[in-house]
Amino acid sequence: MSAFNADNIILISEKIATATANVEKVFISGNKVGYDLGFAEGYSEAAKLGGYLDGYENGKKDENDAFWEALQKSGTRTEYISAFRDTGFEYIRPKYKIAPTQRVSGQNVFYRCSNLKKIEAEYFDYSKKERGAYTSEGWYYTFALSPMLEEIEDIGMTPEDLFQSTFLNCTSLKKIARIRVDSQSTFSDTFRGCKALEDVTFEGEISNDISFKDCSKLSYESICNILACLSEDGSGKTLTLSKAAVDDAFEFLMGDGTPIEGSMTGIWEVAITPKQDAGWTITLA
Amino acid sequence: MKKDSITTVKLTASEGNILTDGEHYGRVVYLAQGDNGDGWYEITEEEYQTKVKEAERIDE
Repeated sequence: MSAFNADNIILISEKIATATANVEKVFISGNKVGYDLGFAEGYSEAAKLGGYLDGYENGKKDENDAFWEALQKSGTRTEYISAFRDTGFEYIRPKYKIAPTQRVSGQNVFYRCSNLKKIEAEYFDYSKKERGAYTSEGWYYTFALSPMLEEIEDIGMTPEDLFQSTFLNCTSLKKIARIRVDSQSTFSDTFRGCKALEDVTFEGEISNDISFKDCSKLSYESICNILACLSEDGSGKTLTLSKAAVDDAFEFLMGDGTPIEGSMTGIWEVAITPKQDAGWTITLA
Repeated sequence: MKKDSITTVKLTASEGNILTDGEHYGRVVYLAQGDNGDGWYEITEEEYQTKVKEAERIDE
C-alpha cells in the first residue's frame, strides 16, 4: 500500500485528530486537503480538456474547410496549374474531388512536393481534362522532384502529346497504376531518376522514343506491358530499358534458386523479336 | 511447313564503354530488323556520365 494512499492519509488525519482532541486548533494534513482538491480539480480539468479537444478539432475542421473552399472556389475550380507546387502535404485530401477540365491543369501540379506520399484516386479525376495544345499543357513536370512519392493510383491520366519530365526524379515512386497514351504521345525524361519504380501500366500505343534507363527495379509484368504497347510501326524509334531490370526480370530461377540456363536470353529475345521486326531498336542501359 | 531464318543483331559495348547513336545510350543494343548498326559507336563511361550530369543540371 502506498504511503500516499487516500485511506492511509485519512487514517493519519484521524489519528492526529484523536491525539489532538483537546487542542484548540487542528491543522489537517495538507496531503488530505490536496488530495480532495486535486481530485475535484482533476475532474474539472478533464472536463475542460475534453472541451478544449472538441473545440480544437472543430476549429481545425473549420479551418480545413475554409482552406479548401478558398482553394477550390467552393468546388467550381477547373484548372489546377501548379496548385500544390512546393507544398508540404503528405496526402492531398480536398473537400471536393479535384476534376480539372482546363488543358493547363497537368502542369507542375505536384512539382517538388517534399512530403507527398501518395496520390489517391478517391480525390482526383483527370479523365475530363482537355488535351493540351502546347508543351506545358501536357503532363509537364506534373509530379517531378517529389522525393517521397511512392504511389500514384489511377487518377484518369489521359493521353497527351507531351509527357515532359512528368515523373522526373520521383526517387521513391514504386507504382503508377495507369498511364493512358496514344500515337501522338512523346516522352522526354518522363521517368528519369525513377530508380524505385517497379510497377507501371500503360494503356494505349507507345509510338515514340521512351526511356526507363534508371528504372532498375522494373518488374517482369511492367516490362511485358511496355513491350506489348509498342506500336506496330516503330521505324527509327528506340525503347531504352535498364539492363539490371531486364537481367532480373527475365532470368527465371529453379526451385533451388539457380537460374534456368538460357532463360534470360531465350525468353527475352522471344519477347523483343516482334518489336525489332516492327522497327524498334531496344537498348539496355 | 514454312521455315524462316531471323537474324537479330545485338551490339555489346566493350568493357568501360557505352554505345550511342548520338541520342540514345546503352550497354547492349538490339537493333531493329534491317538496321546494320552503322550509326552506333562507343564512348567512354566518363564521357557518358558527363552528358548525364549536363542533362541533370538543366532540371535541377
